[in-house]
Amino acid sequence: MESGKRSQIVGLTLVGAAFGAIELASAFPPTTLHRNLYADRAACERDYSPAQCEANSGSGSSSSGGGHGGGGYHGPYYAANRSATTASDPGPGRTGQVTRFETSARGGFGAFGRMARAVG
Amino acid sequence: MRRERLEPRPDWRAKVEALGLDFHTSEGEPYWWEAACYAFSAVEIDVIEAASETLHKMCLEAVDRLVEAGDFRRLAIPEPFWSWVAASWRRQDPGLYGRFDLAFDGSSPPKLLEYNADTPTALLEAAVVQWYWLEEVKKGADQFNSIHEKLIAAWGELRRRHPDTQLVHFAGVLDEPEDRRTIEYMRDVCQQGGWPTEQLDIAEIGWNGRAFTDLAERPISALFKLYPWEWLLQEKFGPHLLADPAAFIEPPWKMLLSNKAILPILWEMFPGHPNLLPAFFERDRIAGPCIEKPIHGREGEGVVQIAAGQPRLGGGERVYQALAPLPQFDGQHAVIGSWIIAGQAAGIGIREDDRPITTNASRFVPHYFT
Repeated sequence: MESGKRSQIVGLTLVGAAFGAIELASAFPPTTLHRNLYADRAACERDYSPAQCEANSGSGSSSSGGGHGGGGYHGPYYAANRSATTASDPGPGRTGQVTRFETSARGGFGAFGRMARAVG
Repeated sequence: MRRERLEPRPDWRAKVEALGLDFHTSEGEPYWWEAACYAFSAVEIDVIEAASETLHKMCLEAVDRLVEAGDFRRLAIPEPFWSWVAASWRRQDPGLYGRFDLAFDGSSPPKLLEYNADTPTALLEAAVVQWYWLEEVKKGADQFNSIHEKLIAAWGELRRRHPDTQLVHFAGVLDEPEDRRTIEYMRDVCQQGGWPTEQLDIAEIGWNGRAFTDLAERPISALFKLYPWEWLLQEKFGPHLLADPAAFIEPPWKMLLSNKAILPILWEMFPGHPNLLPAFFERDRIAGPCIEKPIHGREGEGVVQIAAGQPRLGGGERVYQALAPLPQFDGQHAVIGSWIIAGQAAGIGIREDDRPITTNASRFVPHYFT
């Protein structure tokens, strides 16, 4: 029946059996991550591989010296809590030529949702 | 409007599961219920549609007035967020969806019980599962349900308005099956509207000092959240919302409507309106029995009936709504969930229960009209 009140076709691309076994993020990443900022690519590559060093666009919160501006290069994020690292964690670098580091935090949302789920 | 008993399809479980509704049974009790359906006339559907459009316009007028007054104290929105919420309205950040819960007996005007303006609960059931049920069980009949088409069109329109946004992130409590499936469905229609999507748990959202980020540390530029605004505001990252540049769906101004304080505010603005029930912030303004509702309760949480002359029961911010007993059909109390998609009435879903107050355990029952 033709009608302006119902969808003519309800096609699905994601929902249903193909998406049945979604991988849940049961283990959240570390709560706080850092990444180092370097004056230039060479300094970054002394601590990390070339693929892990990227030009800094200025995003991220500076936590140690310097301003928020862009420039320089940054390495990959690593766990701030060194007792909570995983095998894939790139680590904080070793040379000490870091101009500053940036922080990225997680886990700041979701507390009420978990509490509601726990209660029931 | 009547309730018909039916023989469920023998393989209904497999069929609804194939559509993503794997939460069709909860704690041994059916949630999707096709041993019955509701039948409407075209005139009755027109009445629901018109009432929904009217209520939507009234809600937007209420938001406009609230923003103009600039005081959200009665809605228990923390003052540091007031100007941020108001700015969202003044920018006309687009709203995508909302669902009016209506009491309707087929003859009297539909009455607004509450407005779920910021949670898409029961969307998959209404937009998809009952549509496929109709195709198989009531082929040739009609259904008030163009939700799916309107969602795709709405996402497509958003895509055109935000050409620089390359990816929409979806976040919620992903280990909650209903929320996870609803997010998957919303991603589905978003992608069909032309936008790539990714999903993450709400707890996985990061903050890098300037923007919320995903697990790859990419700034999130558009976030669909299946998570109440009032929770986000109170959580650890809440203050970052004021600095974050992302577009949110639903936008911040929707928290003025996803709040039962809007019920007495609407009654103040439109006293005696046929689609409203008397509602007040004070218990003693209603002489007879009434329903007490926490302003931030969801899915019937904290909703209680108070007898005539009985004082308020709960603490905290609550509103009081004149009692409008839900109509009963075949012994079941039925509530109409009427969807607004991108500002248009788009379809309905029906929940029924043996008890007079609808909760998250109330059954979803399909409908048709002729």
